[in-house]
Amino acid sequence: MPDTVISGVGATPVGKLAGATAWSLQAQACRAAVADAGLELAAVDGLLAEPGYTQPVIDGITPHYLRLGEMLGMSPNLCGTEVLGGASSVSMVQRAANAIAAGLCTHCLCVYGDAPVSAPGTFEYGRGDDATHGLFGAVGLHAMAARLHMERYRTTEAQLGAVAVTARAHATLTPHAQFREPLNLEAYLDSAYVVEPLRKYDCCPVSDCGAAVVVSAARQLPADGPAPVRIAGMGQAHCLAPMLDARHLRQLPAARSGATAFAMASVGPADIDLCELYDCFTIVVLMQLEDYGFCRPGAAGAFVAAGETGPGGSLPVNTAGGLLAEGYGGGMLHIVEAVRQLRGEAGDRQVDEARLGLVSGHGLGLNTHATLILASTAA
Amino acid sequence: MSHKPVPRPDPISHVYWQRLREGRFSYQSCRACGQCWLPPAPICPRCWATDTEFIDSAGYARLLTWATYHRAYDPAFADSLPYVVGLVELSEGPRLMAGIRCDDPTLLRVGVTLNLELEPRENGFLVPVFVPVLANKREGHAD
Repeated sequence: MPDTVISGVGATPVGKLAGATAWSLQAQACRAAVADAGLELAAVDGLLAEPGYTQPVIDGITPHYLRLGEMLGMSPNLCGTEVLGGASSVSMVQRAANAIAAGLCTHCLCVYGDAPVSAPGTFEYGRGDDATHGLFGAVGLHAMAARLHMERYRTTEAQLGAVAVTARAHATLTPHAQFREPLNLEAYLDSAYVVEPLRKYDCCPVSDCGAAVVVSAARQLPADGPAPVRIAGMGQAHCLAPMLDARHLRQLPAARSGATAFAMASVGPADIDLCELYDCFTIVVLMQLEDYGFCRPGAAGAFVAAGETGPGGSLPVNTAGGLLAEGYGGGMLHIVEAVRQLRGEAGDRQVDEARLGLVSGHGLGLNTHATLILASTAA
Repeated sequence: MSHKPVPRPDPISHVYWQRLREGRFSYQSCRACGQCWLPPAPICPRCWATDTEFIDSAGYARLLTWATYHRAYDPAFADSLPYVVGLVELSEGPRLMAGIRCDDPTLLRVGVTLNLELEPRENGFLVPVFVPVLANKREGHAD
Protein backbone atom coordinates (compact mmCIF):
# COMPACT_ATOMS: atom_id res chain seq x y z
CA MET A 1 0.00 0.00 0.00
CA PRO A 2 1.15 3.61 -0.46
CA ASP A 3 3.40 4.82 2.32
CA THR A 4 1.57 5.95 5.42
CA VAL A 5 3.37 7.20 8.49
CA ILE A 6 2.81 8.39 12.01
CA SER A 7 3.79 12.04 11.71
CA GLY A 8 3.08 13.28 15.22
CA VAL A 9 2.34 12.08 18.75
CA GLY A 10 1.01 13.77 21.87
CA ALA A 11 -0.06 12.83 25.37
CA THR A 12 -1.24 14.42 28.59
CA PRO A 13 0.22 13.46 31.95
CA VAL A 14 -1.06 10.13 33.23
CA GLY A 15 -2.43 9.34 36.69
CA LYS A 16 -4.87 11.27 38.84
CA LEU A 17 -5.41 14.63 37.14
CA ALA A 18 -7.61 16.90 39.23
CA GLY A 19 -10.45 18.47 37.25
CA ALA A 20 -9.79 16.44 34.13
CA THR A 21 -12.57 15.18 31.90
CA ALA A 22 -12.35 12.74 29.01
CA TRP A 23 -13.11 15.59 26.64
CA SER A 24 -10.45 17.95 27.98
CA LEU A 25 -7.82 15.19 27.90
CA GLN A 26 -8.69 14.20 24.34
CA ALA A 27 -8.58 17.82 23.19
CA GLN A 28 -5.19 18.38 24.85
CA ALA A 29 -3.77 15.21 23.32
CA CYS A 30 -4.99 16.20 19.84
CA ARG A 31 -3.45 19.65 20.19
CA ALA A 32 -0.12 18.15 21.28
CA ALA A 33 -0.03 15.57 18.45
CA VAL A 34 -0.78 18.09 15.69
CA ALA A 35 1.79 20.50 17.11
CA ASP A 36 4.36 17.68 17.25
CA ALA A 37 3.74 16.86 13.58
CA GLY A 38 4.24 20.51 12.69
CA LEU A 39 0.94 20.61 10.79
CA GLU A 40 -1.42 23.51 10.27
CA LEU A 41 -4.75 22.78 11.99
CA ALA A 42 -6.54 23.16 8.66
CA ALA A 43 -4.48 20.32 7.17
CA VAL A 44 -5.99 17.76 9.58
CA ASP A 45 -8.87 16.17 7.68
CA GLY A 46 -9.62 12.99 9.65
CA LEU A 47 -10.77 12.31 13.22
CA LEU A 48 -11.06 8.87 14.84
CA ALA A 49 -11.77 8.58 18.56
CA GLU A 50 -11.93 5.92 21.27
CA PRO A 51 -14.29 7.29 23.90
CA GLY A 52 -12.86 5.40 26.86
CA TYR A 53 -14.92 3.46 29.32
CA THR A 54 -16.60 6.11 31.44
CA GLN A 55 -18.61 7.92 28.80
CA PRO A 56 -19.13 5.70 25.80
CA VAL A 57 -22.77 6.61 25.30
CA ILE A 58 -24.10 10.10 24.69
CA ASP A 59 -27.85 10.54 24.72
CA GLY A 60 -28.35 6.88 23.97
CA ILE A 61 -26.09 6.73 20.91
CA THR A 62 -22.31 6.80 20.46
CA PRO A 63 -21.31 9.59 18.04
CA HIS A 64 -18.36 10.41 20.25
CA TYR A 65 -16.47 11.97 17.34
CA LEU A 66 -19.36 14.40 16.86
CA ARG A 67 -18.95 16.12 20.22
CA LEU A 68 -15.15 15.97 20.06
CA GLY A 69 -15.13 17.30 16.50
CA GLU A 70 -17.39 20.16 17.53
CA MET A 71 -14.99 21.06 20.33
CA LEU A 72 -12.07 20.96 17.91
CA GLY A 73 -13.96 22.97 15.28
CA MET A 74 -13.41 20.31 12.63
CA SER A 75 -15.08 19.58 9.28
CA PRO A 76 -13.11 16.44 8.37
CA ASN A 77 -13.29 14.12 5.36
CA LEU A 78 -13.28 11.04 7.61
CA CYS A 79 -14.57 10.48 11.14
CA GLY A 80 -15.61 7.64 13.42
CA THR A 81 -15.63 6.07 16.87
CA GLU A 82 -13.75 2.85 17.54
CA VAL A 83 -15.10 0.46 20.18
CA LEU A 84 -12.73 -2.53 20.17
CA GLY A 85 -11.77 -2.05 23.83
CA GLY A 86 -8.00 -2.20 24.28
CA ALA A 87 -7.53 -2.91 20.57
CA SER A 88 -9.17 0.39 19.57
CA SER A 89 -6.04 2.53 19.49
CA VAL A 90 -4.10 0.22 17.17
CA SER A 91 -7.24 -0.33 15.10
CA MET A 92 -7.79 3.42 14.68
CA VAL A 93 -4.28 3.84 13.28
CA GLN A 94 -5.03 1.02 10.83
CA ARG A 95 -8.34 2.60 9.81
CA ALA A 96 -6.59 5.91 9.29
CA ALA A 97 -3.79 4.32 7.24
CA ASN A 98 -6.29 2.49 5.04
CA ALA A 99 -8.34 5.63 4.50
CA ILE A 100 -5.24 7.62 3.59
CA ALA A 101 -4.02 4.93 1.20
CA ALA A 102 -7.47 4.99 -0.44
CA GLY A 103 -7.31 8.76 -0.81
CA LEU A 104 -10.14 9.57 1.60
CA CYS A 105 -8.03 11.91 3.71
CA THR A 106 -4.43 13.01 4.22
CA HIS A 107 -3.78 13.66 7.93
CA CYS A 108 -5.95 11.75 10.41
CA LEU A 109 -6.01 12.28 14.17
CA CYS A 110 -6.48 9.12 16.27
CA VAL A 111 -7.23 9.87 19.90
CA TYR A 112 -7.92 8.09 23.18
CA GLY A 113 -8.82 9.90 26.38
CA ASP A 114 -10.62 9.13 29.59
CA ALA A 115 -10.78 10.42 33.14
CA PRO A 116 -12.05 7.48 35.19
CA VAL A 117 -10.17 8.59 38.34
CA SER A 118 -11.26 12.21 38.37
CA ALA A 119 -14.65 11.97 36.68
CA PRO A 120 -15.94 8.47 37.39
CA GLY A 121 -18.70 7.23 35.16
CA THR A 122 -20.31 3.84 35.07
CA PHE A 123 -18.08 0.78 35.14
CA GLU A 124 -20.39 -2.14 34.47
CA TYR A 125 -18.35 -5.04 35.78
CA GLY A 126 -20.54 -8.03 34.98
CA ARG A 127 -21.57 -8.41 31.36
CA GLY A 128 -25.05 -9.82 30.78
CA ASP A 129 -25.67 -12.79 33.00
CA ASP A 130 -21.99 -13.18 33.94
CA ALA A 131 -22.68 -11.39 37.25
CA THR A 132 -25.17 -14.12 38.10
CA HIS A 133 -22.27 -16.58 38.26
CA GLY A 134 -19.99 -14.18 40.14
CA LEU A 135 -17.88 -13.46 37.05
CA PHE A 136 -16.91 -9.80 37.30
CA GLY A 137 -14.48 -7.76 35.30
CA ALA A 138 -11.79 -8.54 32.79
CA VAL A 139 -9.68 -9.68 35.76
CA GLY A 140 -11.74 -12.87 36.16
CA LEU A 141 -11.26 -13.98 32.56
CA HIS A 142 -7.56 -13.13 32.63
CA ALA A 143 -7.18 -15.06 35.89
CA MET A 144 -8.66 -18.08 34.09
CA ALA A 145 -6.17 -17.61 31.24
CA ALA A 146 -3.33 -17.37 33.77
CA ARG A 147 -4.48 -20.50 35.58
CA LEU A 148 -4.62 -22.42 32.32
CA HIS A 149 -1.09 -21.26 31.38
CA MET A 150 0.18 -22.38 34.79
CA GLU A 151 -1.55 -25.75 34.50
CA ARG A 152 -0.36 -26.40 30.94
CA TYR A 153 3.21 -25.11 31.14
CA ARG A 154 4.06 -25.00 34.87
CA THR A 155 4.31 -21.23 34.58
CA THR A 156 4.86 -19.91 38.11
CA GLU A 157 3.49 -17.00 40.08
CA ALA A 158 7.05 -15.65 40.26
CA GLN A 159 7.14 -15.59 36.44
CA LEU A 160 3.92 -13.58 36.35
CA GLY A 161 5.54 -11.37 38.96
CA ALA A 162 8.58 -10.91 36.73
CA VAL A 163 6.32 -9.16 34.19
CA ALA A 164 5.17 -6.68 36.84
CA VAL A 165 8.72 -6.17 38.17
CA THR A 166 10.02 -5.58 34.62
CA ALA A 167 7.30 -3.03 33.91
CA ARG A 168 8.39 -1.05 36.99
CA ALA A 169 12.04 -1.32 35.96
CA HIS A 170 11.19 0.41 32.69
CA ALA A 171 8.99 2.97 34.48
CA THR A 172 11.83 4.03 36.78
CA LEU A 173 13.48 5.38 33.60
CA THR A 174 10.28 7.13 32.44
CA PRO A 175 9.71 10.59 33.95
CA HIS A 176 5.98 10.70 33.18
CA ALA A 177 5.11 7.19 34.42
CA GLN A 178 2.37 6.80 37.03
CA PHE A 179 4.31 4.22 39.12
CA ARG A 180 8.05 4.94 39.16
CA GLU A 181 8.95 3.19 42.42
CA PRO A 182 10.82 -0.08 41.83
CA LEU A 183 8.98 -3.30 42.67
CA ASN A 184 10.77 -6.45 43.79
CA LEU A 185 9.55 -10.01 43.58
CA GLU A 186 9.24 -10.37 47.36
CA ALA A 187 6.81 -7.45 47.55
CA TYR A 188 4.90 -8.89 44.61
CA LEU A 189 4.59 -12.31 46.23
CA ASP A 190 3.61 -10.72 49.57
CA SER A 191 0.68 -8.86 48.00
CA ALA A 192 -2.84 -10.22 48.26
CA TYR A 193 -4.68 -11.98 45.49
CA VAL A 194 -7.41 -10.06 43.71
CA VAL A 195 -8.66 -12.95 41.60
CA GLU A 196 -6.25 -15.83 42.11
CA PRO A 197 -3.75 -16.38 40.57
CA LEU A 198 -3.66 -12.62 39.83
CA ARG A 199 -2.56 -10.14 42.49
CA LYS A 200 -2.82 -6.38 42.65
CA TYR A 201 0.47 -5.93 40.77
CA ASP A 202 -0.74 -8.18 37.95
CA CYS A 203 -3.49 -5.67 37.17
CA CYS A 204 -3.01 -2.32 35.44
CA PRO A 205 -4.23 0.77 37.26
CA VAL A 206 -7.08 3.09 36.38
CA SER A 207 -5.66 6.38 35.10
CA ASP A 208 -6.68 9.74 33.75
CA CYS A 209 -4.94 10.17 30.40
CA GLY A 210 -5.29 11.46 26.88
CA ALA A 211 -3.05 10.35 24.01
CA ALA A 212 -3.18 10.91 20.27
CA VAL A 213 -1.24 10.30 17.08
CA VAL A 214 -1.49 11.80 13.61
CA VAL A 215 -1.40 9.34 10.71
CA SER A 216 -0.33 10.98 7.44
CA ALA A 217 0.39 10.34 3.80
CA ALA A 218 4.18 10.12 3.65
CA ARG A 219 4.37 12.55 0.73
CA GLN A 220 2.36 15.28 2.47
CA LEU A 221 4.60 16.06 5.44
CA PRO A 222 5.93 19.47 6.44
CA ALA A 223 9.62 19.83 5.59
CA ASP A 224 10.63 20.75 9.15
CA GLY A 225 8.62 18.10 11.04
CA PRO A 226 10.05 15.22 13.09
CA ALA A 227 11.25 12.03 11.41
CA PRO A 228 8.10 10.12 10.42
CA VAL A 229 7.61 6.55 11.57
CA ARG A 230 6.49 4.27 8.76
CA ILE A 231 3.55 1.89 9.15
CA ALA A 232 5.19 -1.24 7.78
CA GLY A 233 2.63 -3.87 8.67
CA MET A 234 -0.69 -4.33 10.34
CA GLY A 235 -3.19 -7.04 11.19
CA GLN A 236 -6.29 -7.80 13.18
CA ALA A 237 -7.94 -10.95 14.46
CA HIS A 238 -10.85 -11.43 16.80
CA CYS A 239 -12.63 -14.10 18.79
CA LEU A 240 -16.29 -13.10 18.93
CA ALA A 241 -17.77 -16.49 19.88
CA PRO A 242 -15.49 -17.54 22.74
CA MET A 243 -17.71 -20.35 24.04
CA LEU A 244 -17.45 -22.02 20.60
CA ASP A 245 -13.69 -21.51 20.19
CA ALA A 246 -11.45 -24.12 21.82
CA ARG A 247 -8.56 -21.60 21.71
CA HIS A 248 -10.35 -19.13 24.01
CA LEU A 249 -8.22 -18.45 27.12
CA ARG A 250 -5.45 -20.71 25.68
CA GLN A 251 -4.29 -18.65 22.72
CA LEU A 252 -4.96 -15.05 21.79
CA PRO A 253 -6.10 -13.89 18.35
CA ALA A 254 -2.60 -12.33 18.36
CA ALA A 255 -1.31 -15.43 16.60
CA ARG A 256 -3.43 -14.67 13.53
CA SER A 257 -3.15 -10.90 13.78
CA GLY A 258 0.64 -11.13 14.03
CA ALA A 259 0.92 -13.45 11.02
CA THR A 260 -0.91 -10.90 8.88
CA ALA A 261 1.25 -8.03 10.09
CA PHE A 262 4.57 -9.87 9.75
CA ALA A 263 3.67 -10.94 6.20
CA MET A 264 2.70 -7.40 5.21
CA ALA A 265 5.95 -6.00 6.58
CA SER A 266 7.99 -8.91 5.15
CA VAL A 267 9.69 -9.44 8.52
CA GLY A 268 9.58 -12.01 11.30
CA PRO A 269 9.77 -11.94 15.10
CA ALA A 270 13.59 -12.08 15.01
CA ASP A 271 13.68 -8.73 13.16
CA ILE A 272 11.78 -6.83 15.87
CA ASP A 273 13.90 -4.58 18.11
CA LEU A 274 11.27 -3.70 20.71
CA CYS A 275 7.66 -4.44 21.58
CA GLU A 276 4.89 -2.38 23.10
CA LEU A 277 2.43 -5.11 24.11
CA TYR A 278 -0.98 -4.35 25.57
CA ASP A 279 -0.65 -5.38 29.21
CA CYS A 280 -3.90 -4.94 31.09
CA PHE A 281 -2.76 -7.99 33.09
CA THR A 282 0.68 -9.61 33.33
CA ILE A 283 -0.49 -12.90 31.80
CA VAL A 284 -1.30 -11.19 28.50
CA VAL A 285 2.36 -10.28 28.04
CA LEU A 286 3.41 -13.92 28.41
CA MET A 287 0.68 -15.11 26.04
CA GLN A 288 1.58 -12.52 23.40
CA LEU A 289 5.32 -13.33 23.53
CA GLU A 290 4.35 -16.89 22.65
CA ASP A 291 1.48 -16.18 20.24
CA TYR A 292 3.58 -13.71 18.22
CA GLY A 293 6.38 -16.27 18.03
CA PHE A 294 8.99 -14.48 20.17
CA CYS A 295 9.05 -17.52 22.48
CA ARG A 296 8.07 -21.17 22.18
CA PRO A 297 4.71 -22.02 23.80
CA GLY A 298 5.31 -22.18 27.53
CA ALA A 299 8.71 -20.48 27.40
CA ALA A 300 7.68 -16.86 27.96
CA GLY A 301 7.72 -17.03 31.76
CA ALA A 302 11.37 -18.06 31.87
CA PHE A 303 12.21 -15.52 29.12
CA VAL A 304 10.82 -12.61 31.15
CA ALA A 305 12.24 -13.90 34.44
CA ALA A 306 15.70 -13.97 32.80
CA GLY A 307 15.45 -10.24 32.10
CA GLU A 308 15.22 -10.54 28.32
CA THR A 309 12.30 -8.06 28.16
CA GLY A 310 13.77 -5.54 30.60
CA PRO A 311 16.01 -2.54 30.06
CA GLY A 312 19.05 -3.73 28.11
CA GLY A 313 17.46 -7.12 27.38
CA SER A 314 17.40 -8.85 24.02
CA LEU A 315 13.78 -7.82 23.38
CA PRO A 316 12.73 -4.81 25.47
CA VAL A 317 8.95 -4.93 26.08
CA ASN A 318 6.87 -1.96 27.20
CA THR A 319 9.80 0.38 27.39
CA ALA A 320 7.93 3.14 29.24
CA GLY A 321 6.35 0.72 31.72
CA GLY A 322 3.20 -0.15 29.80
CA LEU A 323 -0.29 -0.07 31.25
CA LEU A 324 1.06 -1.75 34.38
CA ALA A 325 3.42 1.07 35.34
CA GLU A 326 3.35 3.96 32.85
CA GLY A 327 -0.42 3.98 33.43
CA TYR A 328 -3.60 3.25 31.55
CA GLY A 329 -3.53 5.04 28.22
CA GLY A 330 -6.01 2.88 26.33
CA GLY A 331 -3.22 1.40 24.22
CA MET A 332 -2.49 4.76 22.58
CA LEU A 333 0.43 5.43 24.93
CA HIS A 334 1.95 2.19 23.61
CA ILE A 335 1.93 3.67 20.09
CA VAL A 336 3.26 7.01 21.33
CA GLU A 337 6.13 5.23 23.10
CA ALA A 338 6.99 3.13 20.04
CA VAL A 339 7.18 6.30 17.95
CA ARG A 340 9.43 8.02 20.49
CA GLN A 341 11.73 4.99 20.54
CA LEU A 342 11.86 4.76 16.74
CA ARG A 343 12.67 8.45 16.51
CA GLY A 344 15.44 8.04 19.08
CA GLU A 345 13.72 10.45 21.49
CA ALA A 346 13.19 8.16 24.48
CA GLY A 347 15.84 9.63 26.76
CA ASP A 348 17.21 7.38 29.53
CA ARG A 349 15.08 4.48 28.37
CA GLN A 350 16.12 4.66 24.69
CA VAL A 351 16.65 1.22 23.16
CA ASP A 352 19.88 1.03 21.15
CA GLU A 353 19.47 0.62 17.39
CA ALA A 354 15.67 0.77 17.58
CA ARG A 355 14.60 0.31 13.94
CA LEU A 356 11.54 -1.92 14.04
CA GLY A 357 8.85 -2.03 16.72
CA LEU A 358 5.73 -4.14 17.23
CA VAL A 359 2.71 -2.62 18.97
CA SER A 360 -0.36 -4.60 20.01
CA GLY A 361 -3.85 -3.89 21.25
CA HIS A 362 -5.96 -6.48 23.05
CA GLY A 363 -9.49 -5.88 24.13
CA LEU A 364 -12.68 -6.80 25.96
CA GLY A 365 -12.89 -10.38 27.25
CA LEU A 366 -9.87 -11.60 25.25
CA ASN A 367 -12.03 -10.99 22.17
CA THR A 368 -10.24 -8.40 20.04
CA HIS A 369 -6.64 -8.01 18.89
CA ALA A 370 -4.75 -5.70 16.56
CA THR A 371 -1.08 -5.41 15.58
CA LEU A 372 1.12 -2.67 14.12
CA ILE A 373 4.68 -3.03 12.90
CA LEU A 374 6.37 0.36 12.83
CA ALA A 375 9.67 1.23 11.17
CA SER A 376 12.10 4.02 11.89
CA THR A 377 13.01 6.44 9.09
CA ALA A 378 15.50 8.37 11.23
CA ALA A 379 19.01 8.53 9.78
CA MET B 1 -27.48 -9.50 53.72
CA SER B 2 -27.78 -8.61 50.07
CA HIS B 3 -28.90 -11.10 47.47
CA LYS B 4 -26.82 -12.42 44.59
CA PRO B 5 -27.80 -11.04 41.19
CA VAL B 6 -30.62 -12.73 39.33
CA PRO B 7 -30.54 -13.47 35.61
CA ARG B 8 -32.02 -10.88 33.27
CA PRO B 9 -33.81 -12.95 30.62
CA ASP B 10 -34.23 -11.31 27.24
CA PRO B 11 -36.27 -12.59 24.29
CA ILE B 12 -33.32 -14.76 23.22
CA SER B 13 -32.49 -16.29 26.62
CA HIS B 14 -36.04 -16.41 27.99
CA VAL B 15 -36.64 -20.09 27.19
CA TYR B 16 -33.30 -21.12 28.71
CA TRP B 17 -34.09 -19.42 32.04
CA GLN B 18 -37.74 -20.54 32.02
CA ARG B 19 -36.68 -24.19 31.68
CA LEU B 20 -34.22 -23.68 34.54
CA ARG B 21 -37.06 -22.36 36.71
CA GLU B 22 -38.68 -25.74 36.06
CA GLY B 23 -35.49 -27.51 37.18
CA ARG B 24 -34.29 -28.32 33.64
CA PHE B 25 -30.78 -27.20 32.64
CA SER B 26 -30.62 -27.25 28.87
CA TYR B 27 -28.50 -26.25 25.93
CA GLN B 28 -29.51 -25.22 22.42
CA SER B 29 -29.17 -27.47 19.41
CA CYS B 30 -29.55 -27.03 15.64
CA ARG B 31 -32.05 -29.31 13.95
CA ALA B 32 -30.28 -28.79 10.62
CA CYS B 33 -26.62 -29.55 11.47
CA GLY B 34 -26.66 -30.91 15.02
CA GLN B 35 -24.40 -28.25 16.53
CA CYS B 36 -24.97 -27.81 20.29
CA TRP B 37 -24.16 -24.58 22.11
CA LEU B 38 -24.62 -22.04 24.88
CA PRO B 39 -25.41 -19.20 25.45
CA PRO B 40 -28.75 -19.14 23.64
CA ALA B 41 -28.77 -17.57 20.19
CA PRO B 42 -31.41 -16.75 17.57
CA ILE B 43 -29.53 -18.67 14.89
CA CYS B 44 -27.22 -21.67 14.70
CA PRO B 45 -23.68 -20.25 15.05
CA ARG B 46 -22.30 -22.94 12.72
CA CYS B 47 -24.75 -23.17 9.77
CA TRP B 48 -27.01 -20.14 10.49
CA ALA B 49 -30.17 -22.26 10.35
CA THR B 50 -32.99 -20.87 12.48
CA ASP B 51 -34.65 -24.20 13.29
CA THR B 52 -33.25 -24.77 16.76
CA GLU B 53 -34.40 -26.49 19.96
CA PHE B 54 -33.48 -26.73 23.62
CA ILE B 55 -32.35 -30.11 24.94
CA ASP B 56 -31.99 -31.08 28.61
CA SER B 57 -28.39 -31.70 29.65
CA ALA B 58 -27.43 -34.77 31.65
CA GLY B 59 -25.55 -32.38 33.96
CA TYR B 60 -22.09 -33.92 33.64
CA ALA B 61 -19.14 -31.70 32.75
CA ARG B 62 -15.41 -31.16 33.09
CA LEU B 63 -13.47 -28.13 34.26
CA LEU B 64 -11.37 -26.36 31.59
CA THR B 65 -10.00 -23.55 33.79
CA TRP B 66 -11.03 -21.44 36.77
CA ALA B 67 -10.48 -18.24 38.74
CA THR B 68 -10.69 -17.83 42.51
CA TYR B 69 -12.18 -14.50 43.60
CA HIS B 70 -10.68 -12.97 46.73
CA ARG B 71 -12.57 -9.72 46.23
CA ALA B 72 -16.33 -9.15 46.07
CA TYR B 73 -17.14 -6.80 43.20
CA ASP B 74 -20.78 -7.19 44.25
CA PRO B 75 -21.31 -7.18 48.05
CA ALA B 76 -23.67 -10.12 47.66
CA PHE B 77 -20.62 -12.34 47.10
CA ALA B 78 -18.73 -11.10 50.19
CA ASP B 79 -19.91 -13.98 52.39
CA SER B 80 -18.81 -16.50 49.76
CA LEU B 81 -15.14 -15.41 49.53
CA PRO B 82 -13.02 -16.96 48.30
CA TYR B 83 -15.30 -18.32 45.60
CA VAL B 84 -14.59 -19.96 42.25
CA VAL B 85 -15.91 -19.32 38.74
CA GLY B 86 -14.92 -21.72 35.99
CA LEU B 87 -15.07 -22.44 32.29
CA VAL B 88 -17.04 -25.67 32.05
CA GLU B 89 -17.52 -28.12 29.17
CA LEU B 90 -20.66 -30.23 29.24
CA SER B 91 -20.46 -33.89 28.21
CA GLU B 92 -22.77 -32.90 25.34
CA GLY B 93 -20.19 -30.35 24.10
CA PRO B 94 -21.38 -26.84 24.94
CA ARG B 95 -19.17 -24.65 27.11
CA LEU B 96 -20.29 -22.08 29.66
CA MET B 97 -19.06 -19.94 32.53
CA ALA B 98 -20.49 -21.04 35.87
CA GLY B 99 -19.92 -20.95 39.60
CA ILE B 100 -17.87 -23.87 40.96
CA ARG B 101 -18.95 -24.91 44.47
CA CYS B 102 -15.81 -26.10 46.19
CA ASP B 103 -14.51 -25.89 49.77
CA ASP B 104 -10.84 -26.15 48.82
CA PRO B 105 -9.97 -24.58 45.45
CA THR B 106 -6.36 -25.80 45.75
CA LEU B 107 -7.66 -29.28 44.88
CA LEU B 108 -8.99 -28.15 41.49
CA ARG B 109 -7.24 -29.32 38.33
CA VAL B 110 -7.93 -28.99 34.61
CA GLY B 111 -10.18 -31.84 33.54
CA VAL B 112 -11.79 -32.46 36.95
CA THR B 113 -15.25 -34.05 36.66
CA LEU B 114 -18.16 -31.82 37.62
CA ASN B 115 -21.76 -32.49 38.55
CA LEU B 116 -24.58 -30.00 38.04
CA GLU B 117 -26.54 -28.47 40.89
CA LEU B 118 -29.16 -25.74 40.70
CA GLU B 119 -28.80 -22.81 43.09
CA PRO B 120 -31.99 -20.97 44.08
CA ARG B 121 -32.06 -17.19 43.67
CA GLU B 122 -34.72 -14.56 44.22
CA ASN B 123 -37.91 -14.54 42.15
CA GLY B 124 -37.86 -18.29 41.65
CA PHE B 125 -34.75 -18.34 39.48
CA LEU B 126 -32.49 -21.38 39.52
CA VAL B 127 -28.87 -20.86 38.43
CA PRO B 128 -26.55 -23.68 37.29
CA VAL B 129 -23.49 -24.31 39.46
CA PHE B 130 -21.07 -27.21 39.29
CA VAL B 131 -19.59 -29.35 42.07
CA PRO B 132 -16.24 -31.04 41.44
CA VAL B 133 -15.75 -34.72 42.12
CA LEU B 134 -12.56 -34.54 44.19
CA ALA B 135 -10.61 -37.11 46.15
CA ASN B 136 -10.69 -36.38 49.88
CA LYS B 137 -7.67 -34.23 50.72
CA ARG B 138 -6.77 -36.34 53.78
CA GLU B 139 -6.56 -39.49 51.70
CA GLY B 140 -3.88 -38.09 49.43
CA HIS B 141 -3.89 -36.77 45.90
CA ALA B 142 -6.64 -36.14 43.46
CA ASP B 143 -6.06 -38.32 40.42
